[in-house]
Amino acid sequence: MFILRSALRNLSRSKGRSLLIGILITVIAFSSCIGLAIRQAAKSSRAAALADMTVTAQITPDRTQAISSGQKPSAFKELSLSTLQKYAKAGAVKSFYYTATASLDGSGGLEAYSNTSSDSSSQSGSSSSSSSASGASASTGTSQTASLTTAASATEKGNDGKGFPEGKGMQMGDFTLVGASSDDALTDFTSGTSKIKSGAMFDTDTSDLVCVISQELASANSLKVGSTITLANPNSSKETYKLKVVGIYQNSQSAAQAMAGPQGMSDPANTIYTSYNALKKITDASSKAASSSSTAISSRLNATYVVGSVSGYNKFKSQVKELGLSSGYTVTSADLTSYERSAASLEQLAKLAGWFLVVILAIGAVILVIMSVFSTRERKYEIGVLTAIGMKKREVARLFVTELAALALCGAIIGGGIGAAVSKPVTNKLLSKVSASQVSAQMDRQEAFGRDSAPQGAPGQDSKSGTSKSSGNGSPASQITSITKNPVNGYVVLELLGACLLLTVCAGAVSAASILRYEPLDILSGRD
Amino acid sequence: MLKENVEKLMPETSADAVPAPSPRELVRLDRLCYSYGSHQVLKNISASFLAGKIYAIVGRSGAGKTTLLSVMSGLTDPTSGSLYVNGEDIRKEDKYIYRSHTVGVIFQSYNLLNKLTALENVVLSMEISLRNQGTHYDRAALQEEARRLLDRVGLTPDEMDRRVLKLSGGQQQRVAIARALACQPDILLADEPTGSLDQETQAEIMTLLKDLAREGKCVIIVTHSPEVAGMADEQITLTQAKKTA
Repeated sequence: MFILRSALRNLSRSKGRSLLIGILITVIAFSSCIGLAIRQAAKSSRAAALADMTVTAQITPDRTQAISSGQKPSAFKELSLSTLQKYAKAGAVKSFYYTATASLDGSGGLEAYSNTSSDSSSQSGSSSSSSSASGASASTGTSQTASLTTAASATEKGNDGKGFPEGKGMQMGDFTLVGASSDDALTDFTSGTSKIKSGAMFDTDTSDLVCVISQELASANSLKVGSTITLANPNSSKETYKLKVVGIYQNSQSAAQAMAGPQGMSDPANTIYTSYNALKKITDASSKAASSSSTAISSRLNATYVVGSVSGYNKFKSQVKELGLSSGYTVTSADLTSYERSAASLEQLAKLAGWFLVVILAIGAVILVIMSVFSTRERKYEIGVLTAIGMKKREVARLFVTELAALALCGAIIGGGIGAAVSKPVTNKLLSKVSASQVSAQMDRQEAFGRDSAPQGAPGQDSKSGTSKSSGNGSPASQITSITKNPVNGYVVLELLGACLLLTVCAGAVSAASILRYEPLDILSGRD
Repeated sequence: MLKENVEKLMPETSADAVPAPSPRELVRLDRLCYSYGSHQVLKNISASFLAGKIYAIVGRSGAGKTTLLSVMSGLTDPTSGSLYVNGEDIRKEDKYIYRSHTVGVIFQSYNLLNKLTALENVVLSMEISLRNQGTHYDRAALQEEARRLLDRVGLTPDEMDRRVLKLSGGQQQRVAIARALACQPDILLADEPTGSLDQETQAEIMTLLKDLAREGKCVIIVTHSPEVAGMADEQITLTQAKKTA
């Protein structure tokens, strides 16, 4: 108490010096608080996003391993539905769904919808250069979400390279027919991208040839709920299938967004949804009707395992190995990949904040130590008097360190308070700048390839462009451009106090070393 | 009391034997020497100082008066020889306790803490002394005692609460005396206590020191002033590392 009281008295009696050191510590504390807050924002945003995210997983052939081992990627056969269902029994799996996607042509006057003249001209033929195979959960855009093809028997006709990645041997049609195993598989509907506007969604267990079509397609062909549409095998226009329209949906996603991906998929308005059983009925019938397996309608199977969390995902990876998954296949998560991409801006900002913090603390420590040395020299006479009248040197050192600690605490409170007040807007400002630069870089890359410049990972762009949105809910595919909560929490406050304590210890140690070196007789006799 | 050849007066003792102090002897110097490097300032100083007397140490500049006072105040150790206080060799004592409790020192340039008031200077000295002894204290009681001491040395209540920089030289000297008395020492060491004071104040300070001696304290003054030396009970002259009575 004596030391503290004396320290506070000394501080109040030496206002100029106290103010100078106090301002320095306040500036250091303020800067440190901003740096720590930005770093904390990155951490907490990452944790919160991961906690909110429902992680899904896919099993795909490990093409990287195949290439590195000198094998052709096609050496690994696609897994069958029964095999995929076997892995759904893994303990980490909360739910399992799948879709099959096929490409068909219109028949009986059914025209594909297009919102551009160039697209219209390309649709005059029986096939389109902008064909799509991506369904609601078809995740063909990234290597880690490559789809599984159960049959690839169609012959190639008019494929200019913009179709399926595995387009060889498969004929593209004007329409994408998606067969869903359950409501969860219809991710465009569960995520809110698509909504039924008239009629109702079919029962996903049905084998009846029923479907839902887009509002644009319905308008272009004057179709209503209850109408029947006819789809044909792209390889055989005589092989047709009639589907009854039971619902018409509205898709909020624009064609430009959907077509911006590397594969340049077709207009989403030409996506027709049916049940998995109905689609299987069509492909089975086509196989029987086709003269050879290469001309039958093929479908691509996409299986998704909902594992919930990151830990669930890691468990799933080990469990499928136990269940016998070959090393030629790998477990991936489009959600995590998409999340990592979206969180990159925060990570980059956190790194910058870390370096900023180190620089600030280093400069602050150097300045504070120098000030402390000069201050101690300036107060040499005081040290001499105190020790001459019997105050122990270590007590004098404690007194000086306590003065410094009191200033550091005040500086931490004031600087930390101001830092806390401005950390959120500063973080958001920096975040938006970093994010904007990343988006700009992506756009430049897209433009360099002559594609639409809408960036991958931009809000609303991910679903049908092939950038994967396989999660049933809340895939964090968009850039994190702002934080909603103030990042200055108890942890940051502790870190800030720790930083100020570190500075105090550094400066105090130098000061104490000087004090212990001084001899009162030398000081008072003017020899030091 | 002081002899030119002290060794003749001292009983033959072994090197480790501690001479027994006389009942009123507070300080004894035994063949005390002090050197700054190769330059010997004090050589074989032997003397004893009794309670209730004022001693004036005089001598030419460079004779070692202030050095002797520094050794006696515990600010530095003798190069050789011994200094006994109350029969104890101060080498074996805690220097901080010695400086804050056993002796009171009035420095030539006062050596007050300029940012503090006169009262705070005195209270601080009391607190340091009591803390070194591990004694709990009531700060309010210390302040009361400090006011009493400052009142005794002639400071008004207003002057007590003034920062020492705003006090005159004479007032600062009084504060320095009050601070030296704060720990109730038996020995009072004063280095030129009236050096920069006018005649009237000088007389007042000397009267005060005489009063303290009459109360039983041993007052040792280093001075150049023949007037001050004349007011002492005994004079000690240091000449080139030698002393004469």
